[in-house]
Amino acid sequence: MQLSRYTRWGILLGILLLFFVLNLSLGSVNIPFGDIVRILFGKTGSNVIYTDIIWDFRVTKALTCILAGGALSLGGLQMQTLFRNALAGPDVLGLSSGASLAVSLLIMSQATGLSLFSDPSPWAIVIASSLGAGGVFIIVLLIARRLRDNTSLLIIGLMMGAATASVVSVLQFLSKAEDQQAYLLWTFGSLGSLSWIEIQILCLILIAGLTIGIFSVKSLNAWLLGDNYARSIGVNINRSRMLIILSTAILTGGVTAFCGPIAFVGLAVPHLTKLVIKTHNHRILLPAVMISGAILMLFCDIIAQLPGSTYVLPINAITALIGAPVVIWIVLKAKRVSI
Amino acid sequence: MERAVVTTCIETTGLSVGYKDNPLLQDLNLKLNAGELVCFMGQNGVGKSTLIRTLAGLQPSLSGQIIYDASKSLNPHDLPRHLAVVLTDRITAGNMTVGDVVSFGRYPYLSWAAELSPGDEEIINDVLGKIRIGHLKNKNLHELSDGQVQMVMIARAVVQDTPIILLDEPTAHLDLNNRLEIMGLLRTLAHKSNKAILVSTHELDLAIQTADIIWLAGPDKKITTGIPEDLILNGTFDSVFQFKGFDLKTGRVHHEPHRGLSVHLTGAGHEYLWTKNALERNGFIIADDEVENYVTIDQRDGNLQWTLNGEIKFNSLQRLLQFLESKAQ
Repeated sequence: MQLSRYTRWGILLGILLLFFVLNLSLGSVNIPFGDIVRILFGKTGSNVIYTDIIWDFRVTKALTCILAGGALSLGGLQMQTLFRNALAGPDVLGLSSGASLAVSLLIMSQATGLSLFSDPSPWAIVIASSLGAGGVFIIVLLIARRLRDNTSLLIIGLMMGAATASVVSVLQFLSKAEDQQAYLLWTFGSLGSLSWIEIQILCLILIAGLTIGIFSVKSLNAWLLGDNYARSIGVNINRSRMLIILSTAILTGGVTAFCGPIAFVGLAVPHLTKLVIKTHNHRILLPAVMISGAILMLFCDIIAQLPGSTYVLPINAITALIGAPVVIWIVLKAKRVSI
Repeated sequence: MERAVVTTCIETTGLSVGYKDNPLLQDLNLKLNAGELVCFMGQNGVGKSTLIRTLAGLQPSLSGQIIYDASKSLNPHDLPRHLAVVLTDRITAGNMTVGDVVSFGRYPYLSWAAELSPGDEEIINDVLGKIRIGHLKNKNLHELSDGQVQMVMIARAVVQDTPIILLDEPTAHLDLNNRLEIMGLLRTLAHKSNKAILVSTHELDLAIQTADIIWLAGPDKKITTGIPEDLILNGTFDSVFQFKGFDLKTGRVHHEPHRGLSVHLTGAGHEYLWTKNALERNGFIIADDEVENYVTIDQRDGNLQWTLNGEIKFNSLQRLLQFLESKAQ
């Protein structure tokens, strides 16, 4: 089956649009499809409340899905390539935990008397979160250079996660009850509570992460051969490694800051994408993985809504439900582990 | 005596390689010339891979200098256009075809977008054709045999279009045919394309028969260089490898003549050689002068026949050996 390149991108974007519209039309309130289209094109629907629901609730949430799914998947792809490890990902290696720690330090610092910021702005949260993710990434990378095997790397990631989680729980213990509850809700992962400012920041972060990724296409491809071969064909591996850390840290940090530590998306999406798009070339993989991540996140969110009911499940419960089988599948075929 | 002009591609002066607490090879003054196939030999763990990585600029040296071109003006950033390597590192990435792997050889010439030009494609197809793996171009790397993967990695290095190629044990784990094919290919590349090629290998017999120059790393952390025959005759090989029961000068394994029975052998050609081999391997002495037992070899109706003492005939060497063994007891 040989479809032209444009047809294939068209199909992928078509699916994205389909899920975007589907995501908008499903929810606890039943809004007629015609109204949704009319409201999206700036007109008013049959009920004034519909306009508010669509614009202030559903569109922000769907956009958040697209941005968060795309960002986490881009981060996961770059990490898997850099580590040459099929099981690397922002949450698996503790980047999300690092970001969580930084954010909770910021949020709860008042309670412990360390008043760093009186009222953290979204930018402050994003920067703290990215620093947390980047810090963990550098620690894992330093350890990974000593231990070149998959299992040890995953254990290191788990330990990083456990260590940061324990620091967070100490902070929680010392903080006020309402802060604790806010933090707990945040750890469930949430896509629906972002303001337009926060969406704009997330959008900037995705563009920045993608831009760095695209400028690293050549070195990302070369990393697939391992660092010795990469250097022998002229890749500046130290610079490339730093760019990948930077890109992954802001992508993971940004998403984690606003949506909480969303698990499995960064790990699973690159694999699912490569099942369909059989290439090693990151010039194709980067945009493809980003779009697939957005689609998967919209899909997970649709399920989390439990269409037709008023319940909303935590998004992490759904991503784990999809991500866990992917991990099992990777381990089962691990005899020929591929990135 | 006239000497042809040789281009030195790599020259080291006082080079030491290894690790701070464990220097492996010291004070090396080596020359790698264009148009030469150099086989680099030595016991396991002597530092062959380390020297190759150091020469390739992938590992810092402990001391000394490496000069990559006579004009000494090579910028380290230009090394990838000057030197290609085939390492023992395995490629584990999936979704990668032979064409993809080989195209990495063009990376030193590509911009950040890593887009191959028609010229690059032409070079790739040309090399794949020369190495006779063109039919594999669209195969996934996982589908190939070990020998084919090795050919692909060599093709990748050739596509890099460099005057120097360094290869770390490219024939390890391969069967005899693949080993012969790869060494033949490297020899052709050195001689026809005037490349400087350094191959580390454990294939003693193959190296002796194909290399222009041998580098021999000894237990004294030094490297002795020379043409294979010189190193055999002056005993360098023997002192490095400490052969047990193998005589490199004759190329034979030494057999103890424990039967204590001499046989005089008449015959010619391969038949004579293999009969002698069988007798010696089984502990008989081949005598030059007339002794009590003599064997003649002749052809009868297209079959070989061995005749002992002019009367007892055998149609296989095995039967002859069995008879002689019972006689010796």
